Amino acid sequence: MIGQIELQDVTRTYTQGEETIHALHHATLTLEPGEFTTFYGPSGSGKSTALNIIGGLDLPSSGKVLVGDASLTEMTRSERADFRLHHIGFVFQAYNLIPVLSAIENVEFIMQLQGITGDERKERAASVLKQVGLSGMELRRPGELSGGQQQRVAVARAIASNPELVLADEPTANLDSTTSEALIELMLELNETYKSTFIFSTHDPLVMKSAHRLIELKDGQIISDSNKEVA
Amino acid sequence: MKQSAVIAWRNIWRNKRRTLITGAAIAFSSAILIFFIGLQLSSYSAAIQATTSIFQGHLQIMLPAYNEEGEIRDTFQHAETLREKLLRVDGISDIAPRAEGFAILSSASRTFGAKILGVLPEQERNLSTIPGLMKSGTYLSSPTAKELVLGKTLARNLKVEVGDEVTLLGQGKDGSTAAALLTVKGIFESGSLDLDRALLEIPLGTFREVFSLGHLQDNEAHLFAARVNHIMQTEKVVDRLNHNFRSAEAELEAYTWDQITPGLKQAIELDMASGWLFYLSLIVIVVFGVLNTFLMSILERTKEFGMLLALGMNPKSIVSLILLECVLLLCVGIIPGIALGAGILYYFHIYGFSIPGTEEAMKMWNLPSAIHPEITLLNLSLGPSILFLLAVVLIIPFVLRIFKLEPLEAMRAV
Ligand SMILES: Nc1ncnc2c1ncn2[C@@H]1O[C@H](COP(=O)(O)OP(=O)(O)OP(=O)(O)O)[C@@H](O)[C@H]1O
Ligand SMILES: [Mg+2]
Repeated sequence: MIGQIELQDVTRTYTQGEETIHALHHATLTLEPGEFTTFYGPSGSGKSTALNIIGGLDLPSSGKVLVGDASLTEMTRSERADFRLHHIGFVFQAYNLIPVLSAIENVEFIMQLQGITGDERKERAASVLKQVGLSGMELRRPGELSGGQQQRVAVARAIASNPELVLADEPTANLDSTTSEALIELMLELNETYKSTFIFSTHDPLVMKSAHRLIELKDGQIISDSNKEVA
Repeated sequence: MKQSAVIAWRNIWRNKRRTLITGAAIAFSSAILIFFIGLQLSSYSAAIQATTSIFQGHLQIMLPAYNEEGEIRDTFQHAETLREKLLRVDGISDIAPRAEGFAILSSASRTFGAKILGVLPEQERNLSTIPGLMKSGTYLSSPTAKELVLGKTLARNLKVEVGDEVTLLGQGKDGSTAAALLTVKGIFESGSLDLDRALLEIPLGTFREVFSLGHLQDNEAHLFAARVNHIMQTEKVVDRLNHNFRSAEAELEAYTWDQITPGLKQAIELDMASGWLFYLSLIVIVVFGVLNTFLMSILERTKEFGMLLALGMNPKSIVSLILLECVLLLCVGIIPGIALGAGILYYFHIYGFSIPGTEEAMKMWNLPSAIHPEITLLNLSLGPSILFLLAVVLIIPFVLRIFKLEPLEAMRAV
């Protein structure tokens, strides 16, 4: 188990000319293991910034990030890459898949990087694809799948080696509402099954409704958290 | 790694048309390089072959002292029996003894100095093209006839024609005066200015008598000139001769054509250097085409690389994947290119390639007018390997940029 995820007074600023943008402003937050959390907020509110910092893709300008025992802010670049590979599953908004690999090869590819070998890898890949409802489409390449199906492959890949944390930054942004809801349903199910910590972000009020724990962002600040009152 | 190879292979076919066009450019330029380099290397050896065929042979065998000093006294004996033995040496196709000396030549009106070569007419025919290069008259008829053949410039300088008499005055091996009155049997035109100006051949028997080369039965000579089955084997045969043959009876040493005429090789090589400029330009043009295709395919996949880096893939693996793609793309062109080039070389190997306009000149010098290029590993690989290496070397700095790529920025790239 990865344990708690903690953001301690995290600030991420960007300077653009004279202006300083606070993409994240003194954010402090604890996420419990196995929790399913939704970051919600308008465009530019800092959702991606928060997820990228939790996922070790970005570093805060100040503050500390702890994922379990690991302090992401104290790792080297390649240590963070290694940490991502072995502990975090990612679903991005788009360009998730390797276009020249079939659905099952895409899932297997990351597992191979993780060092999972042979038959185990094949079986695992086939079974997660089945779980995300893509039986029979294992051999299709991304170009031969719909947007929703592609995101399911990405979810299958993210969950395949049962990581402690799954991060999905606006995975539904390019999908219609029915498909979006189905994808969120799927992630909720997988969260039940695998007990991984799930974090996803959205600016879509419809999608937000299915959240367990909802954290609302505005201008880089946490303005509400369904688990507690925010001052 | 098998997985990487699969991905790399599929990646290069993502844009089929682009890969096919690039591959075709590599293939055709490889084939052209193979053809021209094959032709060049073959005409290089043909030029050496031609030059050595006129007169000097591929190798010569003589006393080391004669090689250094060229003194008439440094002869060896029993040339006839030695020749029999030498002919049996692996790789030697023809061999003939010669004697050499210098003399003052006088015709009715002029006097000139020249190199006098004593030869056995029958054996000389297989070794030197001079017997076939007679401009007027005929070649020497017998080993003891009182006759001579000489180069056309020398004949003109002496103002002699076929049938005229020439007085020869020199010093014999024993220090006595060597003198003879010989009839001009023929005049040759070898195409070599030096030979046409300064060479005169007389029968070996006559030479021995005139220059007092011991008793006739001693069979004395200064050197053997020999041809090998293939000019490329010359050094090997010379080594073999110097290791195995060097009999106790005569301390003879073999020398390659290159050792006998230093500078000939460089002269021919220099003559051919201009070809390389053309090959290099062709290679550079094609390599830039490949580079262009390749950089485009890297750039348009920045997002994908960003995604792979974000997932935690090691940048080293991405770099090696891209290099593998580069190698595969080059192979897609080079392999058919080598096949095509080999086909073209094979065609001209069989039917010969003549440079338009040179047939006449070649015929005049008694040389083959067409080049039949060889299909060798060197001919097939030299051009394509340079192309391959240059492309890979130039691509590496671009590929290394992957190490600097930040996953988030790369994923945002357009
Ligand atoms: N690389 C960057 N350079 C400069 N400013 C940035 C950069 N990335 C983000 N920002 C700024 O930081 C703020 C938060 O951005 P972020 O991408 O986290 O928002 P978001 O909530 O994910 O928005 P969206 O819903 O549009 O994805 C925005 O004002 C944005 O302009
Ligand atoms: Mg965002």
